[in-house]
Amino acid sequence: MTALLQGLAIVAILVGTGFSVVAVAGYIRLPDVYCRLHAAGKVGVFGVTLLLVASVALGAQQPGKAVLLLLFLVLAGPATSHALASAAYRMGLGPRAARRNDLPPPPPR
Amino acid sequence: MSRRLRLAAEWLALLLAYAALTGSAHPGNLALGALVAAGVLALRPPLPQAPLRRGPAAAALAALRFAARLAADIVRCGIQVTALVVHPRMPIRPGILAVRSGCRTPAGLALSAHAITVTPGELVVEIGRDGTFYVHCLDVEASARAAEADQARRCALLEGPGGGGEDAR
Repeated sequence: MTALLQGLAIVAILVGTGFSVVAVAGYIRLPDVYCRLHAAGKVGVFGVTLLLVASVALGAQQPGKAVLLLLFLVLAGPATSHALASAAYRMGLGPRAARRNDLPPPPPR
Repeated sequence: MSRRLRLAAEWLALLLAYAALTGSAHPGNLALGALVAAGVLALRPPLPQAPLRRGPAAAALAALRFAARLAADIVRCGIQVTALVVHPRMPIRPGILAVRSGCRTPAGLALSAHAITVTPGELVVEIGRDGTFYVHCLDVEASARAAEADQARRCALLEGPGGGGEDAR
């Protein structure tokens, strides 16, 4: 059982770290703040979730605590992405290379 | 539910969250948690109470279905955005789309915006005064084809039959 949990933890650490690295790569590669938030806010959350799974499997974290942290992460991650995107829009940062833009001009500051 | 009963339920939920986060059921720790929970409730601004539009069992079932769909979307979203980022040519067609929310309640509006943001390749940038979502999409043409129907389904799940009608103002 311990070996199984350790195996699960190793897989979760490798995959979770991979997703976190991809989130950073997306932050560098994607063209503007809105596209970058997809990578940082979504792939990043996925990576952290897997690292939390690994910490539970290794016994470093209690399952109840991990579930609550996961819940907070899932609730707060999208809200943070939305807040940053909204702030960028209100600062007048438009999307780059947009095929379509239905967004009205930002309100005067 | 009376106001006192609702406060007691919220206090208990906060106390349980505190116990789970600290990982200790020691009486002293629980007493401190009870004080912290009471403090949070005292300092928290009053939350608007939306009337329940369906029975508790139907609401719980809808919440479970919504949570299951959300969990599946989070996994799909992580994998799809990863595939786009690691692709050598990064085949994205970004854009911002206006999508009518169709929600009748502020809670429906907020939960819909959250659900859209965990949908693969979509992110709510702004919510207009008329309840319109301005959604940034990594593939704007694909999202434009499905966005209105997806939002109507989401709203019906959150607000019950008739959801997806007149917008919340």
